[in-house]
Amino acid sequence: MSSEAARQPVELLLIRSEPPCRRCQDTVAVLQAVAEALPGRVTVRVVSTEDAECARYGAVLTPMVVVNGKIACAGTVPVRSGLERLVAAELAR
Amino acid sequence: MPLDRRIYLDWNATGPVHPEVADVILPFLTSRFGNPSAPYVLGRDAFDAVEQSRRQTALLLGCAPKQLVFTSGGTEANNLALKGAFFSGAAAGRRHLVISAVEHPSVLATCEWLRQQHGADLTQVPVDSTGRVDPEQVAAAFRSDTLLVSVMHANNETGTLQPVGAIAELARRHGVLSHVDGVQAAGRVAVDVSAIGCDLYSVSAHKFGGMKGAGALYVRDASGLEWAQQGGRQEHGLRAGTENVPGIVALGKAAEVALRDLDANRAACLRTRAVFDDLARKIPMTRMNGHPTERLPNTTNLCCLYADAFSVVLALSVQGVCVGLGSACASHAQEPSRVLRAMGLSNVAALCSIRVSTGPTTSLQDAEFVAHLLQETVERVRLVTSPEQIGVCDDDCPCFTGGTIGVE
Repeated sequence: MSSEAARQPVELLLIRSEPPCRRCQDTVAVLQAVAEALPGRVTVRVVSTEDAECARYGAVLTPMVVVNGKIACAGTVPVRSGLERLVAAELAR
Repeated sequence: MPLDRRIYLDWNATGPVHPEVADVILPFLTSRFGNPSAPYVLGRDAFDAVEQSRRQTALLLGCAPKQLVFTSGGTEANNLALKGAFFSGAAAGRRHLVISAVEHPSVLATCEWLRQQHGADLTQVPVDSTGRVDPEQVAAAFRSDTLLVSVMHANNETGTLQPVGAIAELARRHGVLSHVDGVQAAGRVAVDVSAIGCDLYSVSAHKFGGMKGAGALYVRDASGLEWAQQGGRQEHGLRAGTENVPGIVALGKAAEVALRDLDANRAACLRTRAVFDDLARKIPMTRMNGHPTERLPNTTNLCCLYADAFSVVLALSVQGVCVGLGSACASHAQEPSRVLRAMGLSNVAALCSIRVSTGPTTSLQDAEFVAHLLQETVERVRLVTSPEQIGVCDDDCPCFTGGTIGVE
């Protein structure tokens, strides 16, 4: 791992429904748990489907999780262990 | 990413207008804008252009020009065929329709409408695991009051080709009209409606280089049809409404170009399709939905088990790649494809299936790039969405199949 890469936290972006549905709320909890397990190395950002930023992802099925700009899942709550492995892979890049 | 930088692999949904077609359309949008029904020079010019298109389209389909009725597209052609036959035949007490379980919504919904609103009786014939109908099973569904059978030439989701010639032959022997929805096949595989022996055949221009909003219905013998649309005497009195002249001109030119380039386009598509077919071997827990050989040269439907198709399609889209979901999937709702369910896929397998459909201009380099990206994307989505302990599914795993949906 390069030192430059090590300084770049992995961004977990959640696109949630407006108002947030139950699955979006569950997804927030999963993302926060992943971030808390890796202090300073993961950021969590939440935007709603009302946000203009959503347009770049096309049709949105919530909850949608985007990891460092790449869609990881849409319409389903991510599995925490899988998301942790994906984050680890991103940190190792 | 700019729209023109995208890699487009959803040609079964629609495709670009062929450059040679685009060249011939422009005058009909500007200077040659006459109404073909008008008697003066501008009108005659438009009339002649429509008739030229009729001759070009007839060559693609192997029929006489006068046997073609121009429509607004495949959906209208299918509606005209089914309603026209039904409203004529029902008067004589023949109200039974036979279709396959994998027909396009424009056929299924029209038949359902005829059933609910006009007393039609409908039988759906099941398909095998490759999406093929057995002609003998179709014949077994025929009754004394069967009016018409409608089985598509090629399926829009899987590309599987149906034995339409054998079905038409059996229909003729039983005195049943046969309709073929040829929207996905025309311009991509050789079509000869005389050799097929069907009574009705639908095509759509934008699937083979023409414009959206134009199509045609081949009608072997118009005397047996009651036309649903009333109005002027256009299209030999069979389809009222001022002709979409630019769209019809484009259809004719696209038909001419598609016929000329048929072999070359087929070879080009087979080369890129092979790249995606190969993914069934390269990506674990993945298989191809459709017939291994009797299939459109441009279509690969892949089930990547436990990689949610919607997530995969959107993830590819963000990276500039357009591939298709099963057509049953609406943009904001996840419903398993009726076609894939009819082929015996489980709900989860159907929801993990994507359709890659290439075109003649798809480059091998782009196909290989997307294949690599798809593999990476499937791995990422699986990682984040799969249950933690799913193990590994082999080809016989029950995860792939969950029984067929009920068909009569």
